[in-house]
Amino acid sequence: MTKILKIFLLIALISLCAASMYAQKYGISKKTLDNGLDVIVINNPAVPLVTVEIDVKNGAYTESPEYDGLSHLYEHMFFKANSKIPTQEAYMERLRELGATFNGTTSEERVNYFITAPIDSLEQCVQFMYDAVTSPLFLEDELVNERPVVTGEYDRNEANPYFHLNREVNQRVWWKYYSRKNVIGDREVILSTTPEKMKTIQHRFYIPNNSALILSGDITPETGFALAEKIFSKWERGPNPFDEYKVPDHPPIPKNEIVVVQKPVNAVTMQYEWQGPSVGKDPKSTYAADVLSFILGQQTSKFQKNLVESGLAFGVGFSYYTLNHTGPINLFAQTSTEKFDACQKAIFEELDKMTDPNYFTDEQLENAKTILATNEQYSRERASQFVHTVGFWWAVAGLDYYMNYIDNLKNVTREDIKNYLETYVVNKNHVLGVLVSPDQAEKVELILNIKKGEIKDAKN
Amino acid sequence: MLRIKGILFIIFSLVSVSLFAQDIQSFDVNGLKVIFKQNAANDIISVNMYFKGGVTNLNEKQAGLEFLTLDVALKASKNYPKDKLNADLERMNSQLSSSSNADYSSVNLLCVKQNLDESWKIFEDVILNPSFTEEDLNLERDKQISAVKQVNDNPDALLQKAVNNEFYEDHPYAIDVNGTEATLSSFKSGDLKAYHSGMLETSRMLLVVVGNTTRGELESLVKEAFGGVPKGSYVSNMPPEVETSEPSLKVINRELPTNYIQGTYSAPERGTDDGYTMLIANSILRDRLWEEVRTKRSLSYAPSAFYRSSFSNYGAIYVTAVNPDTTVKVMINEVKKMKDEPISDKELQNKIRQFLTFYYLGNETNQSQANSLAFYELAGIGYDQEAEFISHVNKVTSADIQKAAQKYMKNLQFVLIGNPESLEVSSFMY
Repeated sequence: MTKILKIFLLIALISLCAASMYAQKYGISKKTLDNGLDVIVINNPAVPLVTVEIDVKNGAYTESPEYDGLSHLYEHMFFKANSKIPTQEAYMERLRELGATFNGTTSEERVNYFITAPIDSLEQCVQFMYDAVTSPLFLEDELVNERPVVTGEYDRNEANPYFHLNREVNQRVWWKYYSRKNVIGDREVILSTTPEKMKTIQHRFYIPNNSALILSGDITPETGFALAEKIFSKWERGPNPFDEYKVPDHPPIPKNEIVVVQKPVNAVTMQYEWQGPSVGKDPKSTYAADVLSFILGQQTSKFQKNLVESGLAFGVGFSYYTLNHTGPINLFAQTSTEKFDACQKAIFEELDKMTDPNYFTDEQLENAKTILATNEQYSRERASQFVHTVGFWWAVAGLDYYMNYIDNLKNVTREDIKNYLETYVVNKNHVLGVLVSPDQAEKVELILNIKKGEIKDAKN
Repeated sequence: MLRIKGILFIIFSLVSVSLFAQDIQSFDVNGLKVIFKQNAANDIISVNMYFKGGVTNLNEKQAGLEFLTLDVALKASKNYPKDKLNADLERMNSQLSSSSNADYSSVNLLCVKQNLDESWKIFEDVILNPSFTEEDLNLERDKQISAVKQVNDNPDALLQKAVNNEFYEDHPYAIDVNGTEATLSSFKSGDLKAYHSGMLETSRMLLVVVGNTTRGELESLVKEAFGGVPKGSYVSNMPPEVETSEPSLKVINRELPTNYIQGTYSAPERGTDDGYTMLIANSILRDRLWEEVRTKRSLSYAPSAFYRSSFSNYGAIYVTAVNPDTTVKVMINEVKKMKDEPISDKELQNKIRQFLTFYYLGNETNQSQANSLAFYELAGIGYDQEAEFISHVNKVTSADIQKAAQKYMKNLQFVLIGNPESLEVSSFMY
């Protein structure tokens, strides 16, 4: 063996050992820095790009009414001046120099920021994100300028009729702490916010022990961890925000309600919503919920055959959205005014039958698990998007939940699904929202036996 | 020092692109052109049969016929009655879908490697032997009519429909690929069968496969499935470019919290020198609109500029704003600057660098790679040119951008949906 070959093999062996220290499935590796920052590296060398993402446990769930919508406004302010970059114009210029695309999103229990760039910009991108997350300036003029931009986003939402349906339903389902589910927020709060409020959010939530740095793409765990250590280890840890600022539990829906929302639309849309499980308290039900949703989504299911193939609905879906502070269970259906009565009756018939042992077959149960597992496989193909999925699970349920997700799905039984339905859906209070055009509203209200403009307690 | 960095970057880009493109092959089976890109990096396989022509195959009364034909074809076939077809697809989670745009339609299969053979049989059967039952037709027709009506419920969708109607008046694209309530209501299962029969000519079809299989395996599957399909003599009719002689504004009154606005102009074919230039020009314009309209003046959440990706193209500026006059004036001023002032070398080089990111983002999945290869081939550019994208973009100069802006960014055809308190029509006349 030549000396060069020996050296080569030695290097290869060292690399292999180093990699195996963190090796995880799906190309995902994780390490926690001393300051509490979780660093996650997703290795996918399909294209020579890297996405640098920061996830923070922030969002609507942390918002009392006087902060309603400010996690989202903060997300907008992230892309502005910081101690290293004096203005938003300079900020954008720097992103262009890096060849980067960028964006951020705010949801109920997670805020994320991400830039994707050629791999040779990796270190500069990580440094850029460090400066942005640790030293925002919240300049008064930039904040004043950004308020109408956010209300412009609000205007666009309000131009969408489904936004109104969803808001009316959610205000009733999360009746006591609506601000903690209202991501877009309250216009007045947004328009009157101050740099001090932004700084309050920063000091409470934008600390390493409440955040994750995720590097996804053509990058090895060794490179990613070394870079994170070099750049992010000086970010100072803070007190756990949830020790002092506790998130209250949502009380149950007090009664069944129906709300009719009138907008100029060309179909009738029904949204039934229940309060579902919290992943931290009842993880077993979250697996059962996902499996059931994918049983009911199969074209061969009784749910689809009786509601869609029968011609009663144009489409129907039953879903659970995983959250740590009570996730919603939704049933959406769309139909015509003519078929509305038969469709809404048929939906209740299906709900009544869901706990019957023969409601779905063993094959459909196994198919659902296969579909969920394969969908994960499909989603991992796209490194720049998969990073958001991993970030979401990290924030909401913890990375271990995601890493063991497929294995836990495999263990879901019929009994688990029955328990889930009996705990959260069957004979449980819900809110039904119906979106209909003003000229058809009277017919719908007559069928639902409610007076014009009235909100009604519903029969289960 | 900066110069050296730039050269290194260009070398890096070219090396990366050529490595990325190395495994694309093409072969012919009885007149059916097959483009195959092997990707052993994952177990996902994307199989796509494209049908050429789009709306150029249709007359006004047939609007929506190709879309509905493929939609219903995927519901059941000779060897796969509805329940068997759905049960088999669900068991494997192989995803079968169809799509239609103004230029072409496709049947798409996404599956994992171990299910390729079984999934391919379904893919083959729904293309060659669809059942077209009355029951499936009626169900899908009702869904599609509802979808067509609901375009009016979403201001963005309505804006795009209105822009299409205005800009492509007296053009093949005036035929709505999704159909209208009247045309969709008129189709019988016999119409779908007859139309489908005409689609089955290998000269009208293109197969693109990207994923973890081999050429030998693919060639054998293609020969067995489509070797007996007649060749025919289909020749694509490329739609003409739109010529506009003066600016215009159409207002559609709607009670909305903001106004949805788009100004559209005729743009060059993709794959030409002007086409690559227009891509860069639009991207620079988009950045500038963001900065001037959103960052500096807070006039809108969503200003944009884009360049449509079809065979007969337009470029556009887009915005949602409560003050249309003020906002559009700022936007048009930025269009003027594109014509009057040369782009700096730094801005151009940064933008070209960003295009490398866009290019790879568009190629992350096997499905997106297949769609990109198909577009290049069907548009007449040639699938092999897809891999040359970055080298074409690298050639664009500041002078090219200025010239293209002067040549194309004029006679804007505006559509506004909303209820502005006042409107100064002259602000839109550019």
